[in-house]
Amino acid sequence: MEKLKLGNYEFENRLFTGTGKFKDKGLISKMLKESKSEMITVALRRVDLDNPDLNILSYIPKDVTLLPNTSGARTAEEAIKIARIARQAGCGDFIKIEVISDMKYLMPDNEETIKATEVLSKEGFIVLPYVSPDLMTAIKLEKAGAAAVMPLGSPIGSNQGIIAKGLIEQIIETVNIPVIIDAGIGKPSHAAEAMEMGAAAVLVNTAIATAGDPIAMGRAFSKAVEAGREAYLSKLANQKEQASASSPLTGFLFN
Amino acid sequence: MSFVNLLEKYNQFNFEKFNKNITSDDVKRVIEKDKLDEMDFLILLSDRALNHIEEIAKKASKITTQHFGNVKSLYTPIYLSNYCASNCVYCGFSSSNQIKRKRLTSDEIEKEAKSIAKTGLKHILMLTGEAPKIDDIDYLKEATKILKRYFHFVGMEVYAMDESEYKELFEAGVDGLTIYQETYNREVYKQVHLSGRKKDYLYRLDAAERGAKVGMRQVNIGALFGLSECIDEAFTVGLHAKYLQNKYLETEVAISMPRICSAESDYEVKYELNDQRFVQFMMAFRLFLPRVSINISTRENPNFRENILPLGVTKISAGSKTEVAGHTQEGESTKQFEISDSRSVSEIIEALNQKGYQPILKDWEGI
Amino acid sequence: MNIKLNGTFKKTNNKTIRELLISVDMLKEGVVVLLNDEVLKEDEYKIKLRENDNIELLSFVSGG
Repeated sequence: MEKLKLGNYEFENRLFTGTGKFKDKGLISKMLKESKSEMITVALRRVDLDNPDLNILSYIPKDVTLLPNTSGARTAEEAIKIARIARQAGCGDFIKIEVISDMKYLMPDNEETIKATEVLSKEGFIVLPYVSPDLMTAIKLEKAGAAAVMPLGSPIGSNQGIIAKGLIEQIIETVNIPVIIDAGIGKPSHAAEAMEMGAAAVLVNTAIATAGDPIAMGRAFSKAVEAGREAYLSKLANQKEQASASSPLTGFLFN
Repeated sequence: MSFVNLLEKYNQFNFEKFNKNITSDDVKRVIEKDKLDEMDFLILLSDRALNHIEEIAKKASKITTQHFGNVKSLYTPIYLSNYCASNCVYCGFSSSNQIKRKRLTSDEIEKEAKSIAKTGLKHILMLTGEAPKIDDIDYLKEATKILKRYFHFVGMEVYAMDESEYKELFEAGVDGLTIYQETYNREVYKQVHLSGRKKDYLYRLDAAERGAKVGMRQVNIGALFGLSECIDEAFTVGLHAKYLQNKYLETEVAISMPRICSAESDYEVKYELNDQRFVQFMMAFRLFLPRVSINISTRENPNFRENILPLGVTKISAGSKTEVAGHTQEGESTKQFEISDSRSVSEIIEALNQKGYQPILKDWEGI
Repeated sequence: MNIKLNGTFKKTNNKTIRELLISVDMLKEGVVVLLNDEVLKEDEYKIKLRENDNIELLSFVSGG
């Protein structure tokens, strides 16, 4: 099947994953292998000098593309700063812009995300902006040079699946860049649904990391993404509508 | 990228073969879909789809009501000038025809406008032939200024022009642009457009997009059915409308379906579009592009226009005169085409009301 | 001299970045060093520390 192009990279597999919330980080590399996911998110944080975390990069196989996010940023300026540091630190050109100042639901700030995209895309980053599904935002992001738009399926960690299907469909039908549904995908069936709608890929973190068996769940998600994509490509027919009885509308053409 | 790049994708497409292989199941499947793609649209235009015209009609009626309610917008044309430097084989105004040429003065425009405004109409479409040197930008600007005093929406159907000229006219008050490619078939286009600016296929093709770019609220495209293979033509009109809709979200895109028949023209019509096919195509546009406006003019007779109201039409012309100063100086110049529906505006409003429709004279007002 | 390390002001006798990193046991793989908002490459760790330098030590961690 056709590969997904983001910047100058090509992805065979349309399931992207995340490193967050794994009880046992040692499972990450096996999960990546079994799910065949080719890109995984990481975050950047200040080292706790008294209690340093081990370097997450050591758990990620070298052939998997890193997607650093700007988590922690509450403004465009902060996101831009984090992105530049991540790249300078050797993380590659991809950046997931995540600007969140809402601590209740963790909803992204679309306006700040657009601003950050404008700056970072000009600096050569492959920008994947995480936003709340909004058509005008998506259009502005495309204009600003984003490599894709990443509308949330539902709030981070909520596992509610795709709650604004119609809004995401508008975006898929309008913009010319890939639409990657990120956040809130709780089950493989959600992922299949996302792909059936025409999403180019999905990003799943919580549902895999917190599953009883993250490796098996990663595999399951990968299969679901493939199934959804194939279904989309073969174009589903819709449910049959009830025909309503009424006098012929076209009788006049045959008299 | 221009629309012509999209068209090139279909250069090798075998329309005839596709048409022949369509089955009833294909048509039924498309009727049940909510979002149609280009191939679905082509299926609805096929010969086979004619067998399912009543089912298509039910869907078209439903979608029209869903998106437009019972609203039908009314407008009328005002012919400012029939001077023409182009020689288009099919047209009454062709430069090679010996006809009475006339161009309205400012006073005459004002008189016509006053007369039309009495009918209550607020949406007017100003037309000229292809005479850029005579009906130049300044003339059009002046006409716009006058018309804007009497009408809320001024549309323009004139020769194709540059983007900067569209911008000038837009800033002078022109709200909408109507421009028909006549035929999207390059070969036929060459054969029927013999001289003048209109000879340039690509320049004309991109005109609608130039209008949208400068901010025209409405862009109205179409093909003159009869010049070339009808299914191919309808397909391309649909593609063009979708292209504009997708690229210029702020622009209202409208489709017209003018057609010529042998009876009314000296031009030998090889691809006549009959009523059944006309309705089929119109409904196909409706299903393919639920939000596109469909504009049916007084070229069509009253009975026919009334019957097709539920099936996708959203704009109709009323009280039309296709001659210059037709409202105040009837008979003084030659008509561009024969009008079949010569009912007055009030008669048409009455007829619409009776059928349960909501005639709209004023769509919106710029402030 | 006075410097700022991960947001905290402190006094140090270390002469270079490298010495500073060793002193907090952070001369290891995965540590990203920012000196006055610029990311330092490993061969730049020999840079001499100056009064009021702002040093940030970051690392890549798990995140979604």
